[in-house]
Order: sequence, then C-alpha cells, then structure tokens
Amino acid sequence: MRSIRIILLISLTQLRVIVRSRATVLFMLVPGIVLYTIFTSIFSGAAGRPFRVAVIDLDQTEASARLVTMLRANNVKVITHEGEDPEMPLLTPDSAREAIYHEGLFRVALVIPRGYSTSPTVMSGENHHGVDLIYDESQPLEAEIVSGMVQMAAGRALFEQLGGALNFGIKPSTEENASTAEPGGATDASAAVADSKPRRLIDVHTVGVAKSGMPNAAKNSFLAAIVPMFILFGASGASRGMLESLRRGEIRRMLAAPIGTVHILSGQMVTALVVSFAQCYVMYLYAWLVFQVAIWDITTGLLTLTLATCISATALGMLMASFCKTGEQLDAVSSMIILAMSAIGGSMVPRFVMPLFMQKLGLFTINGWAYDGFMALIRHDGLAGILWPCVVLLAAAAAFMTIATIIFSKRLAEKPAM
Amino acid sequence: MAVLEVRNLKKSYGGTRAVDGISFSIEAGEVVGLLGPNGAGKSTTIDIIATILQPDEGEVVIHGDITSRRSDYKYHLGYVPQEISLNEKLTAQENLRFVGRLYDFHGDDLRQRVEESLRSVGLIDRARDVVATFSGGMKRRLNIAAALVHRPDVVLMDEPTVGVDPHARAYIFDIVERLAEEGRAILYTTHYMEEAQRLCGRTAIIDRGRIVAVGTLEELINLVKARRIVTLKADGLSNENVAALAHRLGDVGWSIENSSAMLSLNDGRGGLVEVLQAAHEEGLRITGAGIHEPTLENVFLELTGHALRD
Repeated sequence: MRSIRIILLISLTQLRVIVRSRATVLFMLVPGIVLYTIFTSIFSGAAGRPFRVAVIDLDQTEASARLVTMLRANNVKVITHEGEDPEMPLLTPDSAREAIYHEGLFRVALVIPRGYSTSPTVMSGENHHGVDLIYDESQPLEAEIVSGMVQMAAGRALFEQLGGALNFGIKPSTEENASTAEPGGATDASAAVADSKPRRLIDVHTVGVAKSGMPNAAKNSFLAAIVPMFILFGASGASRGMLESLRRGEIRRMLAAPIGTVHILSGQMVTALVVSFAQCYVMYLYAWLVFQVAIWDITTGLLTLTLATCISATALGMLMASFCKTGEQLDAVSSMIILAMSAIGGSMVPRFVMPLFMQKLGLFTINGWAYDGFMALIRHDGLAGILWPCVVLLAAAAAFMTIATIIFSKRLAEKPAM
Repeated sequence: MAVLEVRNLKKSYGGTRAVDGISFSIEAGEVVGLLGPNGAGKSTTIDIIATILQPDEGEVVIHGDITSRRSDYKYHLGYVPQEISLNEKLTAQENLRFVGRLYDFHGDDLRQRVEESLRSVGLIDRARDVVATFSGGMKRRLNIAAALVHRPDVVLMDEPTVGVDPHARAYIFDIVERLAEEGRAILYTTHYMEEAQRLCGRTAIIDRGRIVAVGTLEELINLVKARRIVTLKADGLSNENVAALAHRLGDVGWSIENSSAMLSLNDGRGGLVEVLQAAHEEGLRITGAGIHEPTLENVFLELTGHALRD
C-alpha cells in the first residue's frame, strides 16, 4: 500500500511540474495534432486527387478510347494536348518526352500504339503489342503506380467490351508474352515493372526519360528524400547545444569578450554546418559503396546543393532555438517542425501522391527544395537545375539567421539570469 | 584616479526597475563589494559594466576616458560570471586558450598567459585535465582564471563563491586578495556579509536597485553606531509577534535570523531590561537574550528595513 502511495506521489508531483509549464503542455499536445492533420490531408486527399498522365492515342479506335475512358474512371487526369491547352497540338511521344523533361506538367505519358485494338490484352494472342509508358526516371515509383492503373483500366475495358458477361479474372502471363524493355531506355525501375511478372492483362513497356542512363533511380530518390530530414535532425541537435551553452553561461562570458552576438551565433552555426555536412557525405559515400548511387557524376552540384541545404537547415535550427527557453522545449518544437516538413516536403511520402495544395505546400519546406534540387542533379540537369533550389534555400537561411539573431539579442538583453 | 567609474546607471525590465541610479568608483588595488540580497540588482549592475546588458541611462568609464562604446573597453575588463561558464569536456588549458583567443592572443603569448592564469589560481598541475573531473571549488577557480587570461585592469566577480565548501572559499579569498595586491580594481558581488567584511576595502550596500550606503566597514558601522542590537531567543517566535514587539518598542528595526529575533535599538530607547519587559507583555517566553555592537548585517537591516537573506 505504501509503495503505491509513493509511486502515486512521485507521479503526481511530476505531473504537477509538467502542468505548471504551459509551454511544455502545449508542445506535448500540439505535435500529434499537427502531424495527424498533415498525414490525413496527404492520404485522404490522395483518393480524390487524379494522377496526371499524358495519353497519346496513336490507335484512335474504340478499344483505345475505352482504355482511356477507364483510365479516367480510375482517378487519372488525362492530358492530351501540349501545355494542357485544347488549342495547342495533340501530344506526340516526342513532345511528351520533352514535356516530362522540361515542363513538369506530368511525369508519366501513356502511348497507345497503332494496332492496339487488334490485340488489347495478353489473352488476345501473340499479336498483343501492349502500351508504352514514358516516365521521369527520377520518379520511378509514380511510373509503377500508373502502370498498375493501366492494368486496372485494361481489365475494366475488357469487362465492358464483354458486356459484363465475363468475370475477367486476371490470368498469369506466359513467357512468350513477357515484355522486354526498350533498349537504352530501360532502368531498374522499368525492370522492376517488367521483371516482377505480375498477373497482368496488358504489357506495359516503360521508357525512362533522362539525359543519360540513370541507374538506381529509386535509390537516388530515397537518398534525396532521407538526407534533408537527416540534416534537419542534426541541425536541431546542434542548436540544442547552443541552448546548453546559454544555460551554462558560456555565452554570457563570450558576450563580455570583444565579440558580438552575430559572431557567437555564426560560430555555433558553422559548427552545426560542418557536422551536418560531414554526416551528409558519410551517407553519400555509404550510398555509393553499398547501393551504387552515382555521386561522382554530380560532384560539384552535389557539393553546392548539400552546402545550401545544410546552411538552410542549421539556420532553421538556430531560429528554433531562439524561440525556445529549454532543451526540452526545443526537442518538442523541432521534432514537430522536422516531421511536418519531412512529411510535406516529400521525405516520408512522395509528393506526387499528395493533393495539389499539399504539393505546393512542399515548396515551403527545406526538404522539398533539397529533394527537387537533388533530383535535378541526378537527372543530369547540371548546376542550372539546382540554381533555383539553392537560391531559395540560401534566402531562407538568411531570413532564419536574421530573425534568430534579433531574437537572441533581445533575449540576452532582457534576461540577465538566462 | 579611479580605474572604474560607474555613473548613474539605470536599467528596467518591463515595469520593474532593476538598477536605479547606481554610481560608484574603484581605485587600482581596491576591492569594492556590492552587498545585497538576491534580486537587489548586483548581477544586473555587473552585467551592464561587462556590456552584456545595455543600460537605459548612465555610463561606465575606465581610466577616465574609455567608455563602453570604445573598442578597447572590453580588453580592460575581466568577467567572472556567477555560473561556471566552462566547457566541461575540454581541459583547463583548452578552456583558457579559447577565452584567450577571443581576446586576440595567439602563439607563445597566449601560452604564457594561460600558464600564468592557471598558476594564479593554483591549477597549473591540472592544466591538461578535462574540467569534468574537477571538484566544484576547482571549477570556481578555473572560472576566475578564465577572466584573467587577458590581464585586465578591472575584474568583475559575480558571487564567485556560490556553492563551494569553506576550504575552497578561503582559497578563492586568497586569489582575490592577490589580484588586488597586483593592482587590479575588483568589483565583488556577494550576499554573504562575511565575504564583504573579509575582502572589501569598501562595500556598497545595494537594495532594490539602489545603493543605500557605501564606505569602509568602519564607516558603515558608524552609520548605526548609536544603536545597540538586542538578540532574543524565545519559544514560538514568528514574524507577527516580533513585529508586534518592535512596534511596542517604538517601531524599531527587526529581523529574525537563525530562530533569533534581532531588534535594533536607539541608545536613548532603553536597554535589555525594557526589551525583556516588552517581550513578556507580548506573551513571549524568553529562553535567551543578549546585546551586542552592530555588524554589517545590522547595518543592512537598519538601512533597508529587512535582513540580508530575506
């Protein structure tokens, strides 16, 4: 009985301490709500958001039209004209390739070849040609999802063609019908689509779009997604160190020396920058050694983009620390902000599955710009491809750092016993 | 000429005035104490002198013409913060080297200064040990050494003995005295009367942001020399019954220290007998009583109306 009383005493006392700090209570309760809102918006929105797929119907038959109709019914936004403008010419395989590479209006294009109607499914015999799927090699996952949607659309089309009389159960493929990827264009992603030997109704030949061959596209994109989140957590840890320095009085002693607040914050930031930069390159080297990610083809761009991302992340870390009085508060705030940014920015969930407004929100995150920059690099867009992401990241860093300096200076002037 | 002159400093936080027109000066080789309870404005005053805080009004001048706006001002000041502001993962030597570099010292000059500072606080043998392995007293000494690397003329010490044992405290007293002998001007804040009595040539009594008296120990005690202090021990002493007793004696100053009531009487207001009579009438059961000459503690009580550790 006494033990229970003691346990309750300890627990209640600790709860009383927690409840007395409104900030602590707030930071305990809010992150869950914020993250729930974000993930709900991503996934509940996905169901209502059409995938944007360009369709080039070279067959122009009732069968091909049926396939397109079924795609539309399958939550696909079909784009048929250049610039998504009915006044503009119809898309061709070449213009779709160009659009995927340069415009970004869509990242996947379905080409229904001439003669498709003669054998629309693998069950139609050896004449089956299937369809081509042109996709952005840096986004292999989206191609795989659309490929699955094409299978479903083909099934529905067949069902409709047979007037609903047949239960079209998808049959296993035969070796003769196995698809072969186009030479020079196939990647591991297309191979994944082709080699997985799904129970398929229609052959989907995937053709990647990139300046040159892009091995390990999926691994590249995962690295692009993970690294910014990792940098943000590292920066948060470093800024916690600064709060500890404040608490210990090290910063007060420094302020009595012939240096300014800007020197102190910048010094802390450079430390965080070096650490996060080193962490990134350890990850890159690991990705290169173990997963053969081609980091050496993009050395200058990767260095530049990593530097810009690290500067932005560490400046954000300083900003977060400037708002927090204790390490515990910073932990709660930074966890919430980093997880939210990672979710919205595409580190946890690919942005293409998100509703359009969430995709736009991604542009307000470090993760989003870092990811886009990295993908531009591995698409071999060169330094021009990362110019805008780097400018945005550095501008954000300048803004974060300015605000952090103002807040810290104010705090140091107002709170003599920090 | 005074090495450090503090002129009419004022500083408020929101609506609260932390420092309210403080002025004093310190000569070379002099230790001036700022004596007052927690929250009296001692640390804020030191922080303003150290330029960590900006005053709302007033100025600080070193050697007559070096104001805090001048770039060389900070090179004349050594600041010993109340916190042990050292990096515990670095060695004693590394901590001091870091501080020395903030003041632009390098190479042999820096090495020499670091050694000198460590020697002055008796830590030269522990130079290469990480601070985390130091005792509390050693950390306090190193905290002082960090303020000496650039050989300042003025040393600001903000309660440098907080949390140390009597032995370590005595060691720190020796360091302070040696620094004064070397000709440095020292501002020493404390809320321990004994420290002020032992170390400070002059003491400024500070309360609610104002200096209420400043002088040598003798001068301060002379302010209340005409008084006698009666100490009473009684069962059930409380603020209420001691206040009532003080009122009965003609609103004399009073405080309760270590379970004893202290009453500050004018010479002309009777003596121990009158106090015992009044206590009896208040219903107090006296278990002990004494009368003695005023101390700095009594001076503080007399000047501020409350005890140093209230």
